[in-house]
Amino acid sequence: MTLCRERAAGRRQIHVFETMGTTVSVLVDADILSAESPLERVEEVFSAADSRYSLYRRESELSQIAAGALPLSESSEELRQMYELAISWRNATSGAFTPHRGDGVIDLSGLVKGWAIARSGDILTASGLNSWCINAGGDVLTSAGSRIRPWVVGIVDAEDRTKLMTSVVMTEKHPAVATSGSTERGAHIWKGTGESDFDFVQVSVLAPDIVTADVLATAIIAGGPDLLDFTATNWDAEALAVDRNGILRATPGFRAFLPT
Amino acid sequence: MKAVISGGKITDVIPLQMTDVGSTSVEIDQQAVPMLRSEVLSNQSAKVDMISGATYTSEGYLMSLQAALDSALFKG
Repeated sequence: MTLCRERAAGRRQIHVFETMGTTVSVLVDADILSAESPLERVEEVFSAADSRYSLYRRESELSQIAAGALPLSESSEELRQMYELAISWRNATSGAFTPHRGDGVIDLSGLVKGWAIARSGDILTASGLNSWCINAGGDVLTSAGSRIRPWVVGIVDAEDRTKLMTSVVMTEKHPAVATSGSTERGAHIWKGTGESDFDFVQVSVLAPDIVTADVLATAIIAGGPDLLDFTATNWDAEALAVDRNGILRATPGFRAFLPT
Repeated sequence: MKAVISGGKITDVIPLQMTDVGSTSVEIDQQAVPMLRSEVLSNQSAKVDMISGATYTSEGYLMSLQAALDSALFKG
């Protein structure tokens, strides 16, 4: 289903559509776009990824693998590459991020959305657009190019989703921010006995790319404070985490992204 | 770690270089630090372009701050 609402407000256009069980908003600073809008190709990237990887679509390639109807070894090259990438992230996060559901089913939803966002960003840039923002279900990638006013992304308050907890100023080096919650939809975060065990209820990560941001946000929810410290030490990424009591913890470099 | 994305595909995941001091590879452990809500709240008045939050469903989107932001833009 597509909402396909589009409107130019001055030079700013917003395009909203539904995919992967969530809603994507694409903001573009541009005058009238050509008939073959790159926004259509962005929608295609998401819908193709949705058809291939969604476990709630019985006919998807990944559902066929889950059902035992298609061996992984005979699946498409793209799917196998995505799975390999997921495994490399599992190894890099000491298993905090994993593409395997509790019942053993391969679930790539923790990776696919970020991948589709990254690919969409490439499409917009290749189309000559240099000022854009993509938000897919709360994970945001901004154009990294020079802009008079940098992109500012608000972060929702974990305790009251009608409010912002803070906002961050995106930079050329860190144009991506992803937020994960311990109670979010399509739980691709697995931990022993249930979500009440999670130390953090919400984690936001700023990173050089949206896949890294998304994977690490998921991994820190699953891995808790240890993985937050591990991220601070090992990745070119900054994180802000909210624990069950509403206490905030951040990597040392996070503060530099707050608006002044 | 850094994911390398080329032509829309993720081609590699590269570990960042550790700091080299002489011939010894040194890793400086960084610890997350507590922050006060008031520290991060002080900038609430900043104008935001997009909103990051835990993944919402299509139905959840309709109630979200992002939807409010989008519709404000529709209204111009």
